[in-house]
Amino acid sequence: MSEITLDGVSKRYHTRGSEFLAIVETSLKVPSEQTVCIVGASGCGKTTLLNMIAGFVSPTTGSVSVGGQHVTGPGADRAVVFQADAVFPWLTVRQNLEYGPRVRRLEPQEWKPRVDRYLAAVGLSEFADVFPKALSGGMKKRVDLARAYVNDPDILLMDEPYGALDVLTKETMQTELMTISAGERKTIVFVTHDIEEAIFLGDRIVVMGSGPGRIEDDIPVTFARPRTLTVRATPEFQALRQHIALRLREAGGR
Amino acid sequence: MRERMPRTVARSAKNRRDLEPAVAQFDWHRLWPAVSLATLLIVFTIWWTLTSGLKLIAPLYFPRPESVAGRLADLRTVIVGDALWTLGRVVVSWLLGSAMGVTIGLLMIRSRLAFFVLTPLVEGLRPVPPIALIPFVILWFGIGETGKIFLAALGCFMVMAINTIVAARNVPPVYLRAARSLGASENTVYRTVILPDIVPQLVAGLRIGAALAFAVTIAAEFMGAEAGIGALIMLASRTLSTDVVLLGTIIIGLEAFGLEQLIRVISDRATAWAERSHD
Repeated sequence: MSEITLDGVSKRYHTRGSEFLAIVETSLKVPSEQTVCIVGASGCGKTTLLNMIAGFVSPTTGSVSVGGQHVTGPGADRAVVFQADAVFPWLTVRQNLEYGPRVRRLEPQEWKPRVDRYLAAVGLSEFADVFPKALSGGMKKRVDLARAYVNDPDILLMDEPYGALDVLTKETMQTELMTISAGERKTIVFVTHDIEEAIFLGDRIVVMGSGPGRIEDDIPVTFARPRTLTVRATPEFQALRQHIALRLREAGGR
Repeated sequence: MRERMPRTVARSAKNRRDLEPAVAQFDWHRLWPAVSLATLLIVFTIWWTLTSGLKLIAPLYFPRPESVAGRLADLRTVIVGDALWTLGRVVVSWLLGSAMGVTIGLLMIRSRLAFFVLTPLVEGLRPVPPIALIPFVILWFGIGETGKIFLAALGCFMVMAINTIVAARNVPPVYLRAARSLGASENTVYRTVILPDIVPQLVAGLRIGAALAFAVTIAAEFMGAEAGIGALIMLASRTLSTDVVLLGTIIIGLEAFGLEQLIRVISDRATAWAERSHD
């Protein structure tokens, strides 16, 4: 129902006479409720791939569909969590969480309980009525995630959401995402350049190479869920990390 | 001397510790407005000294404080009326022009057609001081209220239209994308993201507009008005009553200051969410 299908998509950018091939014909299928992590070096087109699923950019060739529906633009069925701070500063934390259901004119009794539930889930109940300027970077990311979940999308698209956070905060956020996503399963596409983050969160890892962007490898991750941070210390985890690092190095070598 | 110093330091440190609760309670920042007040006092003293005290400046070139105060007492009923007329014209034209400016500015951002149709008009009229249009305005509207309000409103309109366009272009794209992927339609994005995000810049435009509205309204009143500070100044200058001229300018200053304070209070409420580096 919320399966994502990319069928032979490529993306070519034209800038002042010169052409730039960001992604060469690429196909990918993400089944419902799977978490796929896309790893790759900067500039390999992984964000472009995500933006095509989100409907922010359209592919030059090929097609993107979600749940059998052709993607023509952004929509409430696909929530996006960005690396940049996207929490609306003029709304309080609670108003940010209410934004999606309100602009979609849904019945308040449908979503009011969800707002309180996700405020609690990300530990921001006490901060419900403050403006985001009072929050730390990690707290703003929590607002972002909670806002996405309150809107109950089929798909969650995450574009290096924790890339700008310090290591400790990042680990806390990853664990929280693990817990929240176990509570309400979504199809998740998570773009990152952090291999450990990808293995920890993903059911599957797509390795991208650059020049032009393409999928180099597709690796299943079989650690049982829900995972805790201790999984990182296991030899299997480290072996997989080594393997992916090697594949990334090969992919970047061209 | 050398021997005494350490003891003094030690004693003052001790005293400071004793005084700490009382000292901590007094907020020294509350004294800053007193500095501004002192500036006014110094200016007044210099004024009085040069005119009344040392009589270095003849009353015709710069009137004495006493004669300005005397004129205020003589003319108080007339002046209150003039002040209210001017303030009324300023506020009406300022609100009208600013609202139109924001509306047209947003329309120009929303629609490419509107943008290209209106850009030459806005850009062409923008450098023209509204005062330059007074001859036309008198021909079109006579010397009644319509023409005066039109001129000041035109000035505010230009300021706000340009402010709106520039500010709306600088809205972070990530907000627009976030809103769209949460289910907002294009019109909803304008109402719920672009408009609230540009409020701080709009408030800045409102302040510039208010000052401009005063300048244009006074100039328009020079050209003829039943009542108004501009008319008062014009009349007084014909009889070389420089004390009345000065009184008029002081009243304009006080009115503009009052309006500015009002805008500040409203804007602090409306932009409580914004991060500031200076308060």
